[in-house]
Amino acid sequence: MSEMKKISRFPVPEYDELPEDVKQIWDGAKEHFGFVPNVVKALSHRPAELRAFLSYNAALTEKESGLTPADREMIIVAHSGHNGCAYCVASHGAALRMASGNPTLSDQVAVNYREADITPRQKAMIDFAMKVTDDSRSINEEDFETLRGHGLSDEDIWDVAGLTAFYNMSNRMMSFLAVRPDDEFYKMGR
Amino acid sequence: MKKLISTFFITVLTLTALGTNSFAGGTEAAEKAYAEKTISRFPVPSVEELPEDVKKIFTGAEKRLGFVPNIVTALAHRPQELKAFGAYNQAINGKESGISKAEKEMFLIATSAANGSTYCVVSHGAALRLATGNPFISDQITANYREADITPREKAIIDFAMKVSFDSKSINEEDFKILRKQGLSDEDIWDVAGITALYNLSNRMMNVLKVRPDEEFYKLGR
Repeated sequence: MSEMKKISRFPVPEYDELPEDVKQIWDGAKEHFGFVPNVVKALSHRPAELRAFLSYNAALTEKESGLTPADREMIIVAHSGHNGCAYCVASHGAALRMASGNPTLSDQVAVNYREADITPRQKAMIDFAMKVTDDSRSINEEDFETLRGHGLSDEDIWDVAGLTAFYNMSNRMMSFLAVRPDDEFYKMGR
Repeated sequence: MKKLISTFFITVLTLTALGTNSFAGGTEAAEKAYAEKTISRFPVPSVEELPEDVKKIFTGAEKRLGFVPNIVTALAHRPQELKAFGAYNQAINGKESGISKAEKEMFLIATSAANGSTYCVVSHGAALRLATGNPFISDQITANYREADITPREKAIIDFAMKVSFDSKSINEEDFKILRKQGLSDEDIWDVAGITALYNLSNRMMNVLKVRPDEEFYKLGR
């Protein structure tokens, strides 16, 4: 049973073994969430990659954008569900419930966003994120026109694409490492 | 600057040659991109506008390759993301590994081709020819790595990178066993997965931005 609850396929370092700056990342996460999420623990096996992962995420999300936090989270939940990334669906599902105040939205979007209670603008954004995920080679001017028709600027469109591309990376790493979703995420915002 | 000037001349020559001809069936935007050989769907900054640290990335690339690759120019529209991509690539690629440079380039080409990323195939195709001294290997892997002149170990590595790209949810202990048998350590396996995951990001960004492959890459190592 304990074997089934492993955090990662790879070794996870103890707090005391961590470089100083990674200790600070753990401390910050614990302050923010009340626990250190398993994605942080699992990637701490490779501190340089953990740092790169977090700075890339910050470059994409800690900026002005026409996308709301709920828009971002539902884009991530939809394509992570499609990619079968249990960790990303559980953690960003929690974030989407918190950002939207809607306790049922994440479960809907994770399975099939086309049936979810979302706006036409949100559906258009997720359609595009799914195309970036599954058929990026076919992206064309028409896709841009569709999103502009829903009020997105070209910079907003880059935001959708950048976030989706980043989480396509993250989905693959989490599945490869078989990172176990933290129990806490399942309960947040219900 | 040399690159900018040559791009300018290519643009002018192309426009002159094309005159007012249009292409049957093409949209206006596609015609324009074809005629102008646009680097990216998005605006690209001129060197003078760049923040100091991004200027350094440009000069570093020019020193190493003899030109600033379009991926750098295109991502410079968002300096934070250019730096983040460079740092991530450095973290996973610029380290000791049991995976050789040629092996890395091989699975990058195979997965990038399967994702339809012209930019990544052309640029890493050049890198693989240079790393191996084999002028044919990149074309073979791009078309179908299963028919390419590669070792069973290289094939196993590419098989795994393809699974990371297309079916990461199904990765299991068996995949690890196959790679261990080919002499990979678990850390080497992480390297393959990590680099593949990052280039799954890169393939998608290059396709969304429609970054034009630099003509220099086509010729390198032939």
